[in-house]
Amino acid sequence: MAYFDRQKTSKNIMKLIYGDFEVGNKVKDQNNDPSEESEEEIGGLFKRVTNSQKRKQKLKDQLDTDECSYFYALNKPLIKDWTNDANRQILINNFVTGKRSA
Amino acid sequence: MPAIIQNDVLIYKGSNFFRQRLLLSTLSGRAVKIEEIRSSHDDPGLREYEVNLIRLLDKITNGTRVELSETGTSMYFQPGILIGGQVTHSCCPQRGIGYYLEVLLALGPFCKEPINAVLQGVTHHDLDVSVDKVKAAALPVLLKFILVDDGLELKVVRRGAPPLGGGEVVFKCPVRRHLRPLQWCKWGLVKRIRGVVYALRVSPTMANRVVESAKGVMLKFLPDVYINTDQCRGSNAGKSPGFGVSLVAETNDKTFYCAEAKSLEPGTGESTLPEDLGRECAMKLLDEIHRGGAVDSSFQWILALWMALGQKDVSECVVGPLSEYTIRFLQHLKEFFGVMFKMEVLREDEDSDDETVISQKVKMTCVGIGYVNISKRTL
Repeated sequence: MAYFDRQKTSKNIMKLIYGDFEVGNKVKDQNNDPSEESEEEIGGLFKRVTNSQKRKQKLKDQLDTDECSYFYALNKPLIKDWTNDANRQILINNFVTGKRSA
Repeated sequence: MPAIIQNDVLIYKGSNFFRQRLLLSTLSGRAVKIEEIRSSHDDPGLREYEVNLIRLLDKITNGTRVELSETGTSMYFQPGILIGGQVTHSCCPQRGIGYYLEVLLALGPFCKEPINAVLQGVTHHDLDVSVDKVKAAALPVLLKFILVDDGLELKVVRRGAPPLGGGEVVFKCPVRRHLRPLQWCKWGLVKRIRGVVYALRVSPTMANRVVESAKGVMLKFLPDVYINTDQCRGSNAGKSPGFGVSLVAETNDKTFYCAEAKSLEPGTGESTLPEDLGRECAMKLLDEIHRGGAVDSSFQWILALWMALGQKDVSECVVGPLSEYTIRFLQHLKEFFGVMFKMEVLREDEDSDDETVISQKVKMTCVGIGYVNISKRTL
């Protein structure tokens, strides 16, 4: 699941949310992108995709997606089967009827 | 992607988060310009439901100015003053009423006159929170901020399934001069499960079959499960067939989690078994309970909004893992109001080997900006 991956890779949640804002001047930030587009050619045929291009493509893909406030917005992941015994033991402590260690 | 600011106008690209941007623009009074709206699509420009949202905003404000380009791919929005009052609006059936209702709910406390809105359209939609969910899980959140419930009400008059809709809700919201700061770090344990199953223009047994299977799952965790059926007849059942369920889990600290599921739209070629639907909804609710937090994950953003717009005092709240939508909303909040939240990941039970067992909780702290509703008359 996406958020488990995210939580493993990113320790600093502030940076995850406000990371884009660290550069003070936003107008300048927009302009200095093209300078890093040095395209390496592989075998004279293919161009290597640089990281910044990848990021741009990702942003572009997100540009017109439908707005949805659900947690699993547009992707419908398979939700864990909470009814099987192992999972049920984890979850039961969130209910008043659960067994707590205290 | 951060906005570009030119002459105090925020310039964005793309149609994504259109609603967030217009909402925050209206509250902050800052103009926005949105460019390249579906410019590379076969069907470019604003969709009908987005234009419909602009109309709704126009109805509850005074002096809103909107300029659309000829192709509809770019727009300029200059917000007016929030008025509120009596509104009747027929929502676009491409999206659910929840899409519009969330905006009204967020703006409601800051209007001049209490909002009394009649919204018509699709009450249950795949992309939007249903009216049942707003009623069950979002209104209690607002109550925490205003404390006294004088006229906060959401009534489902008629239900309407997509694609044709035909549902109607009445929403009333009191106004406040300012919101109270909120400390909400505990949410307790789930003590009861309630739910409602509706069946529109289908056999009434469908509803009972959904109840059966949903209850079957929930009873493994808690004995206090009660699910209502809402058999709608005649004009109360809207214009399209469909059925669905929403389940609400209430904790002993007045936190409400809500999950919902609905049948597929007619004409898609596939059909939904009522048993599967009930089980699916119950699973979603269990997942929501596992993620935890003081509010339902769909309303984290609205909690953040009200915390940020509160009095100049510290608000803190613990929520479950942040949704993508909330993260984008926090970024937008920073751009429109300059509010930054302090986020802390709480780690409980360090000794557990499997990290996926305990869901990550996030503590959000912020100082309200002291937003004052200047239009509200004071006696």
